[in-house]
Amino acid sequence: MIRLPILTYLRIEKYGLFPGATAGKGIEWSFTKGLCLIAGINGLGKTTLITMLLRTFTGPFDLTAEGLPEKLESIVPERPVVLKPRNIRFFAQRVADQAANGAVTLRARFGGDELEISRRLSDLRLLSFAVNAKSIDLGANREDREAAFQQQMCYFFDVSSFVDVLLVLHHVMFFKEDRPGALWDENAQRHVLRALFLEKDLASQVAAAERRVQSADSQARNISASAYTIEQKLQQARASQASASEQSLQLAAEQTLLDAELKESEHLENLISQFDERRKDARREYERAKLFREEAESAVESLKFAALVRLFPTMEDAVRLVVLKALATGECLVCGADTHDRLKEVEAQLAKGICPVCGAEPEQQHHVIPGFRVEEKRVKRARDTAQLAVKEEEASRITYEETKSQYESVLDRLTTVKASIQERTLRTRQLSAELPFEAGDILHLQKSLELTRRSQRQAESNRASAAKELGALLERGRGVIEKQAKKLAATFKWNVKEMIAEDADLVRITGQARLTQGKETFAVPAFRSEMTAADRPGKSLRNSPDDVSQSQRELIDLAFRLALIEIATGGAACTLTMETPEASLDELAMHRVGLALHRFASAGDNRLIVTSNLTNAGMITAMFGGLAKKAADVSLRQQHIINLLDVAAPNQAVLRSRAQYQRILMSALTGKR
Amino acid sequence: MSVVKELDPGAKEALSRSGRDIMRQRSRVIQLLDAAERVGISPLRAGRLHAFAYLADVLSPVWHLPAFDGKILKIEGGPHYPDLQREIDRLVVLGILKVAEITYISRPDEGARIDGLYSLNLHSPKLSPILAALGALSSEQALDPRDWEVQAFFVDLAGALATVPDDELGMSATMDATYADERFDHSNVIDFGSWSTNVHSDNLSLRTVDRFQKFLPQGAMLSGGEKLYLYASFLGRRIRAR
Amino acid sequence: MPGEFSDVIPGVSESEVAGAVQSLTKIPVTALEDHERFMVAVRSLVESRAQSGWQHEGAEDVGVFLLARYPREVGERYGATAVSDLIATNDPILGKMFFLNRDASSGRGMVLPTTPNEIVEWVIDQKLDDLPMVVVHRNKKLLISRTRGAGGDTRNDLIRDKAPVASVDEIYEALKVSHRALLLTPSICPAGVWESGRSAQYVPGPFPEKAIQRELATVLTSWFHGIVKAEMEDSISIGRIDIRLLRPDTEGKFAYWVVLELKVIKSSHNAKKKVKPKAVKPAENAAVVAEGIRQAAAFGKDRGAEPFLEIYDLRKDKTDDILAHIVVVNELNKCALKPKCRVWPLFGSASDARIAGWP
Repeated sequence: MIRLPILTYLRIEKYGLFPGATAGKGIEWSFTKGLCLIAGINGLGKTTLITMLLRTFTGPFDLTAEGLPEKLESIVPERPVVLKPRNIRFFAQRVADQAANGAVTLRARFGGDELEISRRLSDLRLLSFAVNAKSIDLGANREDREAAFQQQMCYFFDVSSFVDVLLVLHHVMFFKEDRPGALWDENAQRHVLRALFLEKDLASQVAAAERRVQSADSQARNISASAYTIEQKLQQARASQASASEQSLQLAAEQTLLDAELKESEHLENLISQFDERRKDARREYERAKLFREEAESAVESLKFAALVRLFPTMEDAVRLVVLKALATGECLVCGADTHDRLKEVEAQLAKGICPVCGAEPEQQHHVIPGFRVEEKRVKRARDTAQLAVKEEEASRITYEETKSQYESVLDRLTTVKASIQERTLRTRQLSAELPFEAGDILHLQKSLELTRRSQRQAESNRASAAKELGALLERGRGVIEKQAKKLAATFKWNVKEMIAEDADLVRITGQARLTQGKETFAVPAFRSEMTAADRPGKSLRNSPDDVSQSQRELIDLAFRLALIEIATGGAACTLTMETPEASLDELAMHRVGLALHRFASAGDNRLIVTSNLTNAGMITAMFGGLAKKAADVSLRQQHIINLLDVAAPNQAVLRSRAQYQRILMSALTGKR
Repeated sequence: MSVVKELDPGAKEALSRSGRDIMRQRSRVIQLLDAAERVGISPLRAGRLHAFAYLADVLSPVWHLPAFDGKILKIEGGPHYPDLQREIDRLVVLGILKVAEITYISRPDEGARIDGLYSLNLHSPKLSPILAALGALSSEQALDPRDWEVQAFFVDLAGALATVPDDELGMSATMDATYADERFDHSNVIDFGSWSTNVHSDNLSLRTVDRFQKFLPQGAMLSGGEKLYLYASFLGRRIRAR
Repeated sequence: MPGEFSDVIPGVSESEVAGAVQSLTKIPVTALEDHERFMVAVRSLVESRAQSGWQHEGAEDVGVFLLARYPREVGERYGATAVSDLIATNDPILGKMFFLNRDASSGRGMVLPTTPNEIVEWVIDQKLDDLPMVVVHRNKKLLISRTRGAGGDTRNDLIRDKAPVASVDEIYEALKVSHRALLLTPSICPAGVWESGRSAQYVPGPFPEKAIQRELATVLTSWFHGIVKAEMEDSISIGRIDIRLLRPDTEGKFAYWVVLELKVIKSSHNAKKKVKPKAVKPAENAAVVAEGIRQAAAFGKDRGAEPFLEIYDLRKDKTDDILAHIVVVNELNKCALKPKCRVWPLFGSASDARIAGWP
């Protein structure tokens, strides 16, 4: 069961906005039970004063850095968030001296203990903290002091975390003008119900479990996204590998062929230099053989020539040549025919002295020397040599042709192989370049995906565990809250009927808390108002603030708050602060609300701190309990007004029309118009 | 020719190939001797004709012409081509060439070599059409238009060699930078354009000709003819310095 | 690599190569046509004999040289005997007729078949009149050339007793002689200088510079044969028409000595018969001359040669001094090394030349 503070004392000093009735005195106020009206017109500092009360408790922290958001997130932060400097300097910015020496001191009672909290208005620094008039040393270091203070607040509010203190402050104790509305904010409602109704440990566990669920969910989602990306890549890789597998095979085949060709090329290079040597040797032998043959044949010729010259001295050289060649080589130089038979004939003729050209007998010849005799032995020897030379030449020619052919054959092959190597190298390069993924890359992706999926499963498992745990906790909490539901509903009804004309109920539903980005939700007890409407029979559930009018929204919310306070505190006294409640109400409604608020303020030791713009005197009168029957009532009522017309730094309107405003206030107090 | 038709394809091919070789050799002989005629140094002794044939072969890259043989067996006495000699003798028998003063000179191992004074048979009616076909008369009449340039090369080379004393023409071939390369001994084949993979490196005669440029200023160029005449001068100086 | 000078050629010394290159001025001029080459060779041969005082010659006065395609074939008809390397040998050349190759080095020679006065007729009778012919007259110190054969036009050259020296004055002398003997009038100048049949109208040929260049190249080659090598830019596309003379320096290498840039100024552009030729303005001629100055100066500076600009004046009206034109003067003033500029008048008719005072 939480405890809510009962504000007892306020002192604001050296703050330019509130100089006090006597300049420099500031504001010093004792809150007594019942209503405390902070009266003033626009610009005198009503909101500033209420905010001072709030910030005395919160210090420079809140649920977000901007303060209370319009709608709460599904998860509340684990720790309070430091306000932005602009927000910390909220009070400093409103006065010329930057609130250099301004301070606020607030006393509040929590059960039997009275706290006194002092803060510097320029930066909300905690100046002092006392419990039951005993100053508590919270530490020298600012951060440590705040942390210690927050722990103190947790203790006194009887909640598990300072975040829950902030929740309670915002959604229970301080009903600010912008009215976030716990009834209409699902998340706020859930958090507030948790903070108010669950015992501390459970409340803390639920909050932690909720954070764990969200964290696990977030992690699982991130990992899932990564896994998805990797999976996409892997699919792509596999898809291209499917077409590349053929390419790979082709590449492998080409590579094998290329290797074989390179080997062959190397072998051929070795071979070719050997064959080159061989062909060169064969060529040399052939050339020498040709020369040797010519010289050998010429040797035969020369012998015949000598004989011919002697025998036929006038024979022309050209004729001699023909005959010589025929005689020596057995080859007719004219037609190339074989003359060996003719050779014998000519030799026989020559032996007889017959002319080898015309066949003339010696007696018909002139210039003939008879007794031609060829030196047979020498000629035979020369001819044998010549024949040998011919054979040698032929043999060397064959060898030459063969080695030349071998060389050319190897060269051709080498040229072909080299050309093929060039082409194939180009092709393999192209194929390699076209392969998008190496097998290694796919393997890597697969492993990566595996690991990621594993992490994902783990994260999902963590999420499931966290969800399960939360579910269990929520189940425990649900029971607690459900137990309070009837009372809440009853209290709500009693409160609301005084405020709005329609018949409204607080209905418990099973809300679906969405803590993750997925479809998963958590069943939590939630409350909605059910109301009659002009155009429909029966009551209908109002799920959103748009389902009701603005004034209905605020009043239902107020009724809900009042019900929460009562049930959560067990009817213990507390303080409720409201800003300008009449802002959205018509006159009759204001009257009703005023009376409801009066009832709250009058109950036990409750404090109701309300700011008013003096726009509807009727509300003020109602909050004070209606028409003041006696002067003493008026006087008493005046003791419950922090009259900003007196204590705040006057603005132009006040300077101009102070008396008039005072009269309006007086009129409101008395109820007399 | 009917004999040829009855031969198997391989023999036919071999015969055709040798037939082409024979025609090449014969054309070469006629072109060389025509150039000798033009320059007035014919008839040529066999040895000088072979020297001329060799120098024509080794210096053909100076005119960016393909080598005829691209190789020579280095022997005592200077370059000699048995294949060329055979065709020379055949052309004499065919009446295209004339020969005079045939003699036989001794060679090692009881061998011999024919020598004679060879020239074109200018009276042969067969000669003129052959000369025309070989590009010796005009480029239009040549069967292969490139032969006109080949013939111009032979004439310029013959003119250049004509500055070498007649009795030293044979020696000029042995003084040739490629033939005289001491890295090659006798009975070895010097390859300067047949199987050579780097003609410029292996053909020292070509390198010598290219070296002439070093002594000229930048921008001055020698014509193909000038290179041959300077090379002949180089050979002449070498002969005289011997 | 071809042309790479750094590698050593096995068995070949630098001095051998350098020695061979020294003969560059003495070898035949292969760039010339055969008949021109022959003329240069014969002149060189004759002058070498003359400059040695006609040693080894008898009393004969005349020698005849014929360029034959097949010297042996022609010579054998007349029983002529083989001659070789006439330049190097001391065999007499006078009182003889030679059938030679285009280098005038080898061929066949025989005693003059007839009297010197009848030689030309004899050649024509023998149907040798298509052979380019040079007749040497020792006593007259004359070389009479008939490049187109015995029946063709003649050209006379002096046989120089003294070998020319490679000097600027000698160049000028050569240009003077060639101008007078080979370019002055249409009847003597080479084809291409004037548009055929329109020389009297002073219509130039399509490329008169090229025609003049070839003529001068032959002249200078012949004039300085054995001393200086002449080369000419062969390409019209380069835009330069020049003749460059090289001579050996003290280190045994050849260097550029003189560059002669040739330009033609004219009255009109080339036009075929019956086409009215377009006139050439004085400014155009001045621009041509200025360009010639630039080119000569640039080449001279680039190659360390002395620049000459020879301007051949084909204008009908030659009174305007082209060298006094402001464009030309300015161009000359810009040159650090000023080309020596000369103007050579050419006439469209012999009578115009005479009127102008040329004999």
